[in-house]
Amino acid sequence: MTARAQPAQSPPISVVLPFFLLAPLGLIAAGFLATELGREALVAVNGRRTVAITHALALGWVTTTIMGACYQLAPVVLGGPLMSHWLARLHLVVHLVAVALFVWGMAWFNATWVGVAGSLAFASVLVFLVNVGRAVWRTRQWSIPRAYLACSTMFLLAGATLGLVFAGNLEHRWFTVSHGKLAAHAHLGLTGWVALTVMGVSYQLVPMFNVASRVKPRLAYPALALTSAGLVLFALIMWIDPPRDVRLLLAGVLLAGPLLWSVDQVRLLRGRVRRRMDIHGRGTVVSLCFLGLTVFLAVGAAWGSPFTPYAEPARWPLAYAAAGLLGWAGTAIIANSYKIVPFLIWFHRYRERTGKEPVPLIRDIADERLATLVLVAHSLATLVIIIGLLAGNLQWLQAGGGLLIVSGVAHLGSMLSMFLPKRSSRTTGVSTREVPM
Amino acid sequence: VKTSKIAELLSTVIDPELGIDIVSMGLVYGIEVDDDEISVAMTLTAPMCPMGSVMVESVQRTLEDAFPGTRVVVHMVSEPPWEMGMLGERARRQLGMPAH
Repeated sequence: MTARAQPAQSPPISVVLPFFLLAPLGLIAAGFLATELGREALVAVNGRRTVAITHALALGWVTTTIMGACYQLAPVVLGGPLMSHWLARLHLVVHLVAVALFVWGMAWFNATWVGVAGSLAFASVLVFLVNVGRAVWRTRQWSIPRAYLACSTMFLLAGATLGLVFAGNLEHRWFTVSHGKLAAHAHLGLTGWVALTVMGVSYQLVPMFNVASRVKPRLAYPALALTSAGLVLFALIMWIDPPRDVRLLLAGVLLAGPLLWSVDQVRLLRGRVRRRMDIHGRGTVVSLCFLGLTVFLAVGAAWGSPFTPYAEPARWPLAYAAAGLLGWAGTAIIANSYKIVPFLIWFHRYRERTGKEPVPLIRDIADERLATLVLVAHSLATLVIIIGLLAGNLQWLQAGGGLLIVSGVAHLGSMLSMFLPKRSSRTTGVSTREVPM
Repeated sequence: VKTSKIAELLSTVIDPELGIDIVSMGLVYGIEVDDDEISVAMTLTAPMCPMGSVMVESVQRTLEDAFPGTRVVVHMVSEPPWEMGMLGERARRQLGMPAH
């Protein structure tokens, strides 16, 4: 099968890059809030500081990064254009105002501002879906990433709708908020939107960056079907706060999809041609390890916080959330950021110069050692937070928050450093066009 | 215009992600030369690779510079899919793989 090569549809750098550069502020804000957590955070999962932290991470850091990545990947990987570049820029402004208002409103409790922020966040999601909708839903060619994104965007809409209801409920008290209802909302957002997007995109990026095209993924669609069906079932049944046996069954169904996905990812990594792992490969391995921890903690949370039977029942659910959000998704996002951002800078700075003069390679754009340091600091912060939560030790929890600030600042700094001028690393013969001898 | 000369020129086009030339990578499937047209069939290590357009442009620029007035057409080929056996010795060395 042949096709005349088409020009790239990559959007302008000014559309995508601000998402990546502003997202770590959510990580830093969450770190600051975590350093001030009190004992009440271990008692209920919906303490105002806890909700502020989870949304600073989920909406501020993770979702901002993923939305930026979608604006880049949808036209290039899925083959359909965005509706409007200006709409994407407007979307970022609305999204950031919504996140800042929400985190501030929750941390220093103000129900009215939380309601306003919830409405803005919902509007931001609608604008995003309209903008990427054509690429995700209306292109001709089906692919694994596209199937995952088609599902994840639907779960984003469901999670945001439920979030808007919760935000309104703070002021109007339509219904009693329970652990099960919160779990439904959290899983629609974190598993449905974040996890499915990370899983789907990894089917494109892991083989591409590690050169593993000879390995064909076998479990992509079963993993997607199991995760999606399990999540719908989970959200419906958790709404009525089911007993332990049902919770464990739901956890089993929900975890089966990511576990199948992880089997595919391990196969892809083992079959790679590029033997020496770069930051993306290392980040993917760390991310898979965190998935294992997430599965273990999920079962504990579904069981009902074992080893903390009489007090502080929020420890296991929060440790599970930290492992999934900061660990599994977070390290995958860091790993991908150090590929996507250098690519964007390289593409817009050097693309026109290839074939004419020596230019740096993409790997010359990012400082590999600094990227590894960020990955290590972030993983350490996540582990310290998880240990602090499981042990009920506030000092560890607050120290984890401090480490999160360090890793967030380092992450932001390392991405800004990519804009510094780069030299072609000629010693390794890496100009995109060497002069023939 | 000889195809061997074109292949030599294409071996100066480097994949900016891997730092290896496209001929050693086994990405060039065929070169055809007519009177006023050079046609190159090439593939990518992964389908829908964002680097595809960059490499196509680099191939076109390189050949158009070397052969002014000649039309250069690059066809992206997906069959047979690229696989590890297509790697040349130089690429295998650079990727840290054992020689054939």
